[in-house]
Amino acid sequence: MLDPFINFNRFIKQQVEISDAELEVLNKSCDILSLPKGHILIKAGEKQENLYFIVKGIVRNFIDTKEGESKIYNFRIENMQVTGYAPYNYADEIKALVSFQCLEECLFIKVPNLLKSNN
Amino acid sequence: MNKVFENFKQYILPFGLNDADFDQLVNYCSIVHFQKGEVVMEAGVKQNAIYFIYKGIIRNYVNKMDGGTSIYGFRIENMLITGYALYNYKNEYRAKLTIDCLEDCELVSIPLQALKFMEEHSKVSHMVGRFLAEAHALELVDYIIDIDTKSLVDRYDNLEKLFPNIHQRVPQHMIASYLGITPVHLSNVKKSRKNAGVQNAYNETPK
Repeated sequence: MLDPFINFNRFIKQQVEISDAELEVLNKSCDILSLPKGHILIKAGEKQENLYFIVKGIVRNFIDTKEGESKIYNFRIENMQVTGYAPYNYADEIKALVSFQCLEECLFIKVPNLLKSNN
Repeated sequence: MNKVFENFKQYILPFGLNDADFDQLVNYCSIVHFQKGEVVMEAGVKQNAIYFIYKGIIRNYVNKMDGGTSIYGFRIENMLITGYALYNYKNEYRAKLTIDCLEDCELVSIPLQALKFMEEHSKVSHMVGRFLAEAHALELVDYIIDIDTKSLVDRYDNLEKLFPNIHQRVPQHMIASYLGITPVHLSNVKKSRKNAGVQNAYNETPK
């Protein structure tokens, strides 16, 4: 199988200048995560310790409405990030604002938040 | 220092700029005045500045496809006006929303060039941009999610927390637009809220 970090590293290089050595440090603190179809990756209102990069698969971004239904805001596919907006929500304990569910069997790179605060 | 710039400084320093950074930044900035009703930014138009509100109140809105307007938010003293233009570098810094003044406004104009200069010369200024972008993204996400998850009364009450005294400053039809309901509906909400002693007076979906 292709190294799952190839596209992840390419994605990061597109956004910022980063050395290979730095990328290696980042990659080492990440994990590969495989989840079945239907699995809830992030639940709205819960504290998050990671954000995710989709190597393979598709997730839906949704919330439970006050009528008890679920409303989809968006989808995320390969080479996109899944954050639930949690990393920006430091005013409220890094809690996710929206939920994410796998619509296929998905392969993620799990990126811990701790690394982020070391910058 | 001028009182207007003094307030701007109080606002911006907690983001991590030091006095020297600020002195450089403020050299680029100017004070501008808009009258009630004047348009500060127009959706789809390239922008070359963002604004800090020293005095006044503005609304963020878009023209709907049916010809009406839809208000997404307000901004009052000690907040920034961006129209999301400064994050829209993929599309020539065009504003996403139209912004007009609901009172006479006194603003600090901060050219995008100044922000760029700051990013190149100050180690922390990119953090300012990041915090702002993240805060603005969250604000909009909250607005969207609240429509589906919160009762109308909760959203009505929350408005007063976000923008103190807004009901004295903004016409009711604009509050209704922000909440996504008709002015008649809003007036009914306020009545039933009064009668029911606020809690759970209204739980129905807007529109």
